[in-house]
Amino acid sequence: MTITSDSVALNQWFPVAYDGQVKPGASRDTILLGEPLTLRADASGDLTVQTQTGDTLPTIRAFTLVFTTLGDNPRPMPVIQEFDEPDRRVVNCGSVGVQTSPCRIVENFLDMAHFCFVHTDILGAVDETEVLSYKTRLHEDVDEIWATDCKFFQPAASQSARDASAGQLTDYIYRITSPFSVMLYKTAMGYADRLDAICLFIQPKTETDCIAYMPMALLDDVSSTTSMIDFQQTIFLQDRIILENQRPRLLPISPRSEMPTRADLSSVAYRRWLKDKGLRFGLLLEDAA
Amino acid sequence: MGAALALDTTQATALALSAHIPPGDVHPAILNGFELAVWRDSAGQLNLWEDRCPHRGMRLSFGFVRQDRLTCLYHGWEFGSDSGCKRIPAHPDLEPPKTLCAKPFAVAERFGMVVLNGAPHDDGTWYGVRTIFVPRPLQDVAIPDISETPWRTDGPFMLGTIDTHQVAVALHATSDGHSAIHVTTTHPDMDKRLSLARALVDHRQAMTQETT
Ligand code: FES
Ligand SMILES: [Fe+2]
Repeated sequence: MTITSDSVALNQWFPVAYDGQVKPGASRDTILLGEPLTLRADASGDLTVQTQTGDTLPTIRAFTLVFTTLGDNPRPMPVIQEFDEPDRRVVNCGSVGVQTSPCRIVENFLDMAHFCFVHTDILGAVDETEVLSYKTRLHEDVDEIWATDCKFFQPAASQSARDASAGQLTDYIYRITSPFSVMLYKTAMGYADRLDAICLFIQPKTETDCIAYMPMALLDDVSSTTSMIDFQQTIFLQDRIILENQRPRLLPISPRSEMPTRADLSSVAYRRWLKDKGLRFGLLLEDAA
Repeated sequence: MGAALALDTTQATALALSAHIPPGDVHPAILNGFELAVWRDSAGQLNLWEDRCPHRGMRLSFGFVRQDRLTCLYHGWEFGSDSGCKRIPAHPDLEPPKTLCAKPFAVAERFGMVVLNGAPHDDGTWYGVRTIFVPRPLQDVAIPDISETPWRTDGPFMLGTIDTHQVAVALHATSDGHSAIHVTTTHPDMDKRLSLARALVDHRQAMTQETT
């Protein structure tokens, strides 16, 4: 295994642990973009991240995670103000290993058309499969793709919704915050004008072996933290069965290799955006057909 | 990683037992690392496709057969026996364009097995005995010693005899130095077929132990 030479991939911030994952005084080995790293926690739990040659990498603590970068000029961290709002429950769902391209994981997170089939009776119902048209837009100031006006009928959109009702039309907004991270805002039970924020940050160990982290900033003072984490983990484990069985594992970005429909507008925008950036890591560039 | 593998379509290769794929079922099969999905509609028609949905690459062998269509597990696209996509649930009112289709390969049944590039043939009644997978490359696979007469080769098959009935064996490489051995017979006695299946399990055991 060798470190990637892809400068687009190198110049990103990536999570390498969640808060509290490495106990004070302990250490832990991990891999980022093919580069073996050692994480060491001091007596107060603060992490130092080192390469095998002993170089200490910069770190940022944000969104319940510890981020590092192997690049000299990383893309700035996204601004997600919901994590600073004092009345929100900030929940860290741990991490899940997934054997596929980080870009396949981002696409799955953006996708509404699979709710009925993969998250049946939770995020989708078998008789309400239509994906209504929505919009995507590149916000050039922050270089993020947003998908807006997304709506989907959901039997149990969240832990709090599951306890409260028999289903609802849920509003979604998606933000692609970097090539390897994405987040969504969705209707929060009991709030007309504020939305739950759920993020997905990916640590690619290699091009087809990743660790996914899912911090959330929720408006929910009813559900227990455990039930909120269980809910999110259930959803993600359902997705993992799909993710690890998509072929090829690398995301093919030649337009002819996979066939999108209108529901895949955000995936199409994401692929084009990755191509424009010159990213190669995690992608299958030639025609796979 | 991710390099497109090609399927050798010049040769006939037995990939599974017909008995393992009843109407309404779908199964995966791997030939030299190439992933395939085999499924059968209610009329008994067999389909052999690349195990990859044209939409977002999900393995079709994870899907399910309903109303003679193979439905993809990821977004529920439905494919008919002509390999064309018939329905896209995200757009219920859309007639899917003809260009949306799975990738089919020629398939037929012979001696109770599913055969890539096989020629259709009426062989009478064959029963499935067992498929075993062994951690050995094809050239190192030993043929199970189950025939009372010397083996006779017929295309990808080896034909032998048990109690005046026929027995057929076929091999194929799956992936990473592993191989599959398929066995069928015309023997009408179920107890005989069960004891044959047990002999194959012992055969697998022996080959696995010698390897490791
Ligand atoms: S991947 Fe098969 S329907 Fe989307
Ligand atoms: Fe999902």
